[in-house]
Amino acid sequence: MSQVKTDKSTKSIETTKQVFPMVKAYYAEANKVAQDHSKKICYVTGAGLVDIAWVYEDVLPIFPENFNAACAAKQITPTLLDIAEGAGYARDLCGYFRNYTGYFLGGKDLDLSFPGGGLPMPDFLMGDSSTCNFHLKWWRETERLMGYKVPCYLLEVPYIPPRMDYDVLESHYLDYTVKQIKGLLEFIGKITGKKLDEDRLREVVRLSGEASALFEETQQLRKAVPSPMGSEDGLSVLMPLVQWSGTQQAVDFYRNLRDEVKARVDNGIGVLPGEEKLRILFDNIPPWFSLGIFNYLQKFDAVSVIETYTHYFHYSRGRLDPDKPYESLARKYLYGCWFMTSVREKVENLFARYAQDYKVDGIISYALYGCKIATGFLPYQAKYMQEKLGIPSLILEGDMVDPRDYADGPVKNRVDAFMEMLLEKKYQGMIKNTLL
Amino acid sequence: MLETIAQLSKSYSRWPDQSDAVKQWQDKGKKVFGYMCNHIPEELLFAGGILPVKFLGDSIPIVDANQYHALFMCYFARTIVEMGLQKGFSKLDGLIGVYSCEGGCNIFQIAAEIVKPPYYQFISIPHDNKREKQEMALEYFTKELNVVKTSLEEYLGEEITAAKMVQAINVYNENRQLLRQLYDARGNKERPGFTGVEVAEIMNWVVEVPKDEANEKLRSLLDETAARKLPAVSGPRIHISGTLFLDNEIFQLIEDLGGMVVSDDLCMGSRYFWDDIKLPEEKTADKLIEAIARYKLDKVPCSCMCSSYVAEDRLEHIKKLIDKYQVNGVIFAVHKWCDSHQMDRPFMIRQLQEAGLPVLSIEVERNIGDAQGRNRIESFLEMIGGDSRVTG
Ligand code: SF4
Ligand code: SF4
Repeated sequence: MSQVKTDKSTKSIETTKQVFPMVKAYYAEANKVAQDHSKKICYVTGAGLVDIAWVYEDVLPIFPENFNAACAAKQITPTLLDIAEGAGYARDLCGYFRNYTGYFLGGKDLDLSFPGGGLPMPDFLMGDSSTCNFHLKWWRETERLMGYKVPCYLLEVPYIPPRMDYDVLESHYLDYTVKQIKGLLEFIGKITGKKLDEDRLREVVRLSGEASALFEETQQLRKAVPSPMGSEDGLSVLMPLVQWSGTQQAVDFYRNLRDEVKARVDNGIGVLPGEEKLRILFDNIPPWFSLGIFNYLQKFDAVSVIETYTHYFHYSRGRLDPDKPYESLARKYLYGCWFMTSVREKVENLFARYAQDYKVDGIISYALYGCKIATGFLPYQAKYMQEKLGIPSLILEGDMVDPRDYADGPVKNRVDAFMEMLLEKKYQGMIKNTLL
Repeated sequence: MLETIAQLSKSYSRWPDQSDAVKQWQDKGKKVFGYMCNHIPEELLFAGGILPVKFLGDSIPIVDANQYHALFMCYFARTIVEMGLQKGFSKLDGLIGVYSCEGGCNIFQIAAEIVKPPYYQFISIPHDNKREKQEMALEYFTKELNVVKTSLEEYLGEEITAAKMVQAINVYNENRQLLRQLYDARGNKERPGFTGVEVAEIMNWVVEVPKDEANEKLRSLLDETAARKLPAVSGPRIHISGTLFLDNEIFQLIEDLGGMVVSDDLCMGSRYFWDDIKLPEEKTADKLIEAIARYKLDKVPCSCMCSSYVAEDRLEHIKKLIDKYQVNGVIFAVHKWCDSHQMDRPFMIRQLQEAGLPVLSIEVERNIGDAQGRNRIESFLEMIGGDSRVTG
């Protein structure tokens, strides 16, 4: 296995510490369920679909993407990636997919320290395309990999084309998504042998909406100067939203988080001990094997104050309405991840507004060679942000779980140069003069 | 190459701004739209008097486009941005895109932001549209195409009537039938009517010109070649799997080596015309739109589709062609960075190999990859040539 040297991150938010025990307990439950079959294990994809799984009490949703990210954090991905590529999967495919496929094509039998002891086998698959269509292909390949013995239902969330903006969705987009949500619930019902409990569905939508709203409140609080919570925490506290949306556990977690972040804002406590000189927007899926990059920015008195990635797993446009559970969920999936929204809407409206609202001085985009949907337009976006808003971008290139081409030194050199340029731009030589 | 085909080549250009076919159509006061992917409803445009021309890309260096898109996109798509920047599409009246693959989805939109055409539309097609999803996907997509129809009518200032749609569908169905005949003529083992290079060139031409005129030319071409006596291919008969190429190099190379491409499942090949639109009994505009939508969802799938068994369905098509055209070996020539096709490839290769077929997999970018790609094709043909050389 190739040796990879990257930095781990350090956090400043207390609530973040609750994530690890939650994940650990969850994996323990998953392993127990895998043994005693007391629940049906399903694999879920994407951004937010998990709440549908929580509607049925005897279903345990597992999120392989998180397993992949955790493998990356443990820096064991190179072996698994090699296996997938050896089986003919191109190296330029999504890193999550390659890692996961390597795991199933023999990796799981190796003596590696898999997060949670490994991925339990699924009883069924449910997937959605709210992040990308690739996910759908990935689940189809899983069906094939498992000899078509594992039933699968995919919810395809239509891509929002440039003729629509976020405030006006054509009704067939909503109808189609609603129909599929119903189809998915029926599919799970058949597998579990349970009839859909509409009250329970409304309850899940209420809980999902509450976690969503609390998280959105936290995101809004992060607009404060100095930044109360940087990306090193922001990315870690996302996990409960991804995994437990629709449960009380997620609501409790995000209430604690909101309270803590609010207290920090009220008391003017920032991430940095001293002056916050630069505010950065981190764009796209981060390199999970090197989250220390965010702490590294502090060397320049800079904080990565917000991310696009943390915007993708909740509904940020008001409350989900439990009395309209299907439509609420459909809106959540349609509006969740910007990847599936036209280049025009996401660059000119969503992203540009985000950068302004969070008063950022610069943008660091992580261009993932495996993820065409999230990455294809990044240079265009960078050009737009520079020309229209005067906000510079640095585009780093790599993969979110594949550290084999990730060279920490050169990445840091590029970050250094970018940060120095931003400091120079913002303080117009003041810093140099002070140093002289 | 047959002189008639060489003449056809002169009537179009990979650069729509330099295409005679485009100019002639516009000289009649009619509109021309550019598109990138086969999933757009060509028949609907044609019914509205619009000439749809496919972006073929070109084997050019990328100079400025890299400032607009990530490098991790297939070369074909990247050349579209470059051509847009070099004003290759500035005479087009409209652009119509569709989210087929993810790279193309981004690239097409970037090109549209650069070109800023008078008409611009982008379609969201369902990718998971078989079995339990079939009816709801069809209902959604029919509505989506109706939105497109309405916007075209607003742009044109006139209705696209049912009668015009029937006419357009008939023209396109005839075109498909003629192209199948062309493939059959090329695939004739003892007496091929066309070479692989000729057919590749006809395919480039046919997506750039009005289909009614194309049909006339194809009919006379088929007549002309009925009595043609090309020698039987002495080397391996090859099936090519992939999307499209920026030139005819791979077809030529295989011929230079004594083999011939006799079959394919390319976007710019059999997948473009293998199935017909089934005209509904009731020929109302709504039913006709539904028929077009159904065709788009039911046809031999592109790898960008995500229905269950999508790779199996495609494989079935390939296997049928392999039998029909007596293929000796398969070359997967997939664009680097083309996720969808790379994703289905390992499975399809395994299956074909298990069926006893020699398979070569190469990655293409601007071309088939200089000496290395050529050498690999050469060794592959030599390898098959040994045990399946066709005499005659
Ligand atoms: S990383 Fe990109 S391609 Fe992979 S699953 Fe996520 S959005 Fe899809
Ligand atoms: S070659 Fe592949 S990646 Fe490129 S446009 Fe076609 S399907 Fe998309």
